[in-house]
Amino acid sequence: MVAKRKKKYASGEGAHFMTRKAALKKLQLSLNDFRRLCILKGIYPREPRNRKRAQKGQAGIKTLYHVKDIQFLMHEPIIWRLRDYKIFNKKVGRARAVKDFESLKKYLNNHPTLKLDHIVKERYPTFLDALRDLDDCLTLCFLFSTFPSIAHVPRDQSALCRRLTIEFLHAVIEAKALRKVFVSIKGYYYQAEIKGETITWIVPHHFSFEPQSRAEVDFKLMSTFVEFYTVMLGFINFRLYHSLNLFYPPKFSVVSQNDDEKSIVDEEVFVSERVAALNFPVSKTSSGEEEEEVEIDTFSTEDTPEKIEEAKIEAEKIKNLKGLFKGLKFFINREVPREPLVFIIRCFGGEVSWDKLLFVGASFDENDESVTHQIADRPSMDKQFISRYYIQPQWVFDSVNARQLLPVNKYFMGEVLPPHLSPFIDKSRDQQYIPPEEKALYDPEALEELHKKQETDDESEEEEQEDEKLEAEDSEKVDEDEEDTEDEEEEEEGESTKKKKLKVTPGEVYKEVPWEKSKQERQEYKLREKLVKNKHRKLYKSMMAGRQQRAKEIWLLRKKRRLHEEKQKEERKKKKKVEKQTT
Amino acid sequence: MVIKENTSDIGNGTVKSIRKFSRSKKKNWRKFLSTKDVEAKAEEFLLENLTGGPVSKKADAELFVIDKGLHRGKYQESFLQASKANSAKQTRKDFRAICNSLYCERMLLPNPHVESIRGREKKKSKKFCYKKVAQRFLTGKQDESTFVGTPKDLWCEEVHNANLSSWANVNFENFVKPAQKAFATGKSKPPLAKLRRAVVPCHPGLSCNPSLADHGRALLTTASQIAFQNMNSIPLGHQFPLSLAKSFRTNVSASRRTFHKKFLMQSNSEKNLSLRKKSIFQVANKSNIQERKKTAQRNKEARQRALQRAARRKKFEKRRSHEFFRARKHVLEIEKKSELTQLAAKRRRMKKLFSELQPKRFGRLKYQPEHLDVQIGEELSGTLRAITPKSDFLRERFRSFQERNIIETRKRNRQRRKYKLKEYEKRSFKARADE
Repeated sequence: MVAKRKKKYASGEGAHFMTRKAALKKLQLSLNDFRRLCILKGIYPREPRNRKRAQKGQAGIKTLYHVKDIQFLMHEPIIWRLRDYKIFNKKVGRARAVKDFESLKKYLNNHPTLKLDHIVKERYPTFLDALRDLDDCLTLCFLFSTFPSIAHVPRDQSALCRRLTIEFLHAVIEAKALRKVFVSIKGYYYQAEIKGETITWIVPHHFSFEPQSRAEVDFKLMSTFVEFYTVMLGFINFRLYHSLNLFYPPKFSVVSQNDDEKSIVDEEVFVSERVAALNFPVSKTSSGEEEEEVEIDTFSTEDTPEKIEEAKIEAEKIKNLKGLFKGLKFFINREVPREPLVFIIRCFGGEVSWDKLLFVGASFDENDESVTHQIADRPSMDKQFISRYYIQPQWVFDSVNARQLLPVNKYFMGEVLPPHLSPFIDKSRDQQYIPPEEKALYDPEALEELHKKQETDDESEEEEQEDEKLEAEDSEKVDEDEEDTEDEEEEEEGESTKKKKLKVTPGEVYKEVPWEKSKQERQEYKLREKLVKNKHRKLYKSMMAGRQQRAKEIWLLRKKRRLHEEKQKEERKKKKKVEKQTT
Repeated sequence: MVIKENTSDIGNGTVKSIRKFSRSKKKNWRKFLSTKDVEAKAEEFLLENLTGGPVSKKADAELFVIDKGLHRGKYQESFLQASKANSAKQTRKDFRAICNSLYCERMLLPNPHVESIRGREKKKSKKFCYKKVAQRFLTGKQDESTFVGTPKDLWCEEVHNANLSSWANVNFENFVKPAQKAFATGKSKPPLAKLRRAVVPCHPGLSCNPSLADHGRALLTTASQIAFQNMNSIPLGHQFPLSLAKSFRTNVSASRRTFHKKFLMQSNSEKNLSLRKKSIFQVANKSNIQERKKTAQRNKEARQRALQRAARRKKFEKRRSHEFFRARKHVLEIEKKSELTQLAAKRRRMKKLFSELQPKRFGRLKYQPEHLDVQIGEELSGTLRAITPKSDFLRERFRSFQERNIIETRKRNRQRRKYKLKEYEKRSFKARADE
């Protein structure tokens, strides 16, 4: 009996990977359908360790998939739906060509649909798993909600995205889950905390849709992602609403007094518009129950009581943050983007309104005297009320990030705004350049120092000028005195040399020279460095190199800051001179 | 295309020609299609189903209900009992006559006990269907409607499982399956690339109103990248180290290593060569000169070997005895080694994670990272109203999918037009041909 020869690539990496062509042949699907299926099921291509073996000796670079992934796909019932869809397309085409409009209508009414509920459950077996993947979902849904109807993006999809995103925003408002906000040139960055998971998403600015070239972006692919994410977001919204004891789909019971509609033509449109306004509280299933105050448990067995204290402080801060805008009433001007501000203000307990003609859902007018803050982005306004502050929109974002109501004076209309700092910086790193404005936010003393510094700079300039004059006078006097002292010293030395005998003299005070001390310390440090073993020397060197680099960067930034301040000082001087001359 | 023409005699003396058409190609299906006979057949079939078919073709049993008197329900039994109680003198014959009487007659007889229709259904639902409940938990099958029509809780099992454990005296372990795995493939964990953050907060220099420091930092990084690109003439998009000095350092160290390899190692190898040559020469000479050993010599060598063995054994035993006092030292050494191995393992894991999270190559094209988008001072707006659209959001999302290895980087295939080859004859050629 001859032993069976082992075939090449029958085991190892060659047996674990499969090219895309082979996968298409096995599944009997077209490339587009295969891509769609992979996106829906969450199957991704893989890069093997040894490409030659994985590709079974074939040259070139091919897209490879795990054999087990493809086998997993084979049992997916959606494949039959995709094939039905292919047959449906053929039938429709044939009926259209033959001009059989009755059957064409029949086919179009009974078109095959894809149901993705089981796939969502498969990919995210628990609710927390779905929350962890919410970043991508939300950003894409918000993006697609701004799209018009394009070839591969039907109008229904963008409308559905819009509806789901608004529902999610309502859930965040009711849960008071928003923590950080950042306005960038790309859009608004939001970060919320839901069930202990931090979710970060971007909402793009509301600009008009720019057409893309097909070479840059594959719209069909993106719409497949959105198709899956819309289903996922729907389930998440349902779960969130139920956990917050809210009706889903959202309903509201409050009707604004400003609505002058006498007869509601379309109730659904009416409700959807008011829901989209984000201004009305959504009705709850159980009324009269308020949130219980949760106290943090203290465990005596904990080794780090500092951490418990920190957690307590953090919890208190978050509690105060949730009611940041409580009792305040905001009115948004026409030129300010309405939706993000309404969302943020309502998340922290404030009341908002806007011009009736701008959008549906305005709860109070501009003339309402109880308005505390009016958000305007203009250099000035003709009509102003004394009982309210006219501020720029950045105040709202900066207050949220600072977790307190910032002083309003820097954010008045026409003022040059302070920089909008990012709240997403990693504060765990020690060596980091923190601009003085940011320091002032955390230490109120630093704020006073900043103000004092600016005041003293002006005073010191005047003093310097006076000192220069005095110095010139003093220097002449000093030269005369020096000549007299030299003659006296020579006489004293001659007398002391005569008497040199053994005596008990009092000790001299040893004065510490700082530079000598530092020199000694440096030498001792170098000796300690030499004691580091050869094994650990490389690591030590790389550590020190990293520290030095960071310190260098900080020094550079401080230098730049200093130069910038000096420039500003000079400009202020010039202005003052000009003012003096004119007066 | 007509293939055949057959003639058939109908019977009246007229000849009917039947034309047969070829139906081999798709074109001919539409051309010579006549669906009249098919439609007629379909209509007949429909009529039959609606009406139940012609009466002549049906059997008697289908048309009529033959009452053989074998039906007996409960009300009949109660009637019978009542009749029994009333007339004790009823004989067996009477009883049989009652039982075998026609069903339709019995239906018309009075009966005080009337069963309600609902009662039957209630009886069925009284039994708690453990099987159905278990099936629902096992398969997780619910209504096929999506959330748009009728919303539902996809993760309701979590709530159920939390409640079930508190029920006493009920063992639901047989019914409730553990939660399904996220991926039913061999690898239970999702690919590491998915762990990469989907939304990375942008550089603080990209704020609508950035601080000077953040803006400056962003400018520095782009400037260093451009400078490096100009030096090495590598296209922009590749990620470079921040400081130029670092790159120089690595080049110098690399050159040092090559120098060391090329020149120093060579000199060592030359020395080894010379040594080897000598030894070979010596060995060759030795083989020629070697003579037979004497017994005394052999014994001497054996004694020496034995002494050496004894000395080695002694040394080994001495070391062993001293090792008892070295236990603490050994423990310390082991601890140190384990720390180092743990550190090394951690470094390896971090390296692996880092390499996993990098964009991979799935096809012919490589992923090209985009350079940092930084605004010039003139472009900085400072207010929301003055913001202009800068970056392409959709394109960035698409690129982030490629960066996180969710989709492969590819170039869209251009549809190239295939032009038909036209043949024509030149006039000059035609003229010559005529001549």
